Amino acid sequence: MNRNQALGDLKTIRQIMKRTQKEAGRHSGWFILIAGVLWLVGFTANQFVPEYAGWTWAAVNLGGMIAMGWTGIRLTRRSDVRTTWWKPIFFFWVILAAFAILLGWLFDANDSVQIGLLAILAAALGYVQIGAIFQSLHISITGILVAAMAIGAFFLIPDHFLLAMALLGGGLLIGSGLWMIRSRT
Amino acid sequence: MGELNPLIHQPTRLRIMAALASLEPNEKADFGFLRDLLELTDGNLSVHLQKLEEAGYVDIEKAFEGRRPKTWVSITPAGHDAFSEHVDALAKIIYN
Repeated sequence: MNRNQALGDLKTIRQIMKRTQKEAGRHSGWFILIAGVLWLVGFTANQFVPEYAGWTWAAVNLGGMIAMGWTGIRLTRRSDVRTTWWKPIFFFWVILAAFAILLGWLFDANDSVQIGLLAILAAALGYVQIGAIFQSLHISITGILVAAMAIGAFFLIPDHFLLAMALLGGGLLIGSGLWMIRSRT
Repeated sequence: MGELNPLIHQPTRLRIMAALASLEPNEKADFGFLRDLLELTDGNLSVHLQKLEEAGYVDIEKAFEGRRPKTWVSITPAGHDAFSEHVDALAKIIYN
């Protein structure tokens, strides 16, 4: 075998590996899509009906857990790639959420904008890390964009931060999720 | 540094091994998923998987999910090692 043939084989291997990972991870777009819908509903409630925001978030989080659990079970049954990653991913998010709550308590975050920013940055960190673990540049970039958008809105349009997060943050996650679900190699 | 593996060197088997090696440990791929991903026919994929299974490089598990038969394919540790050695050998050809 000569050098060019070896180069060709390595190129083929890289392409197939990339395509397989992309196809295998396509279903994770559903979870990002669901998260986007939760953000849209929750932050919209924060902005327009702050007196009901707590209840709305409680309902949204409960609904989100049920929707994600149901989606996870359905996808596991239908999926083309059987994975054992669901449990570690679930516990990763639980630990990250606990860490964010602890930070909020330690630093006495006491208004909806500060709490919102903390929750968004924790979620963005989660996306970046999950993207790094699964070598999905798309998920990592989504996390970075969400964080950049949140920090920008916090300083530039603090009065409309919650609405911006509902529309831009939620919209970005919904768009990103749809792109992942629909993208074909 | 390993040598080129004649079994994996065959183009279709190289692509099958690359696809399976890219999955996380303990992940299994559905037969139909591999067939569509690699644009192979059922028969072609079956023949090559059988050869890889005989060599101990892949595990093939047939199961029923509800009423639907499913065939799950995964790479074995020996398959992983053989594939890594093959890739090393390709790199050696390029860089020597």
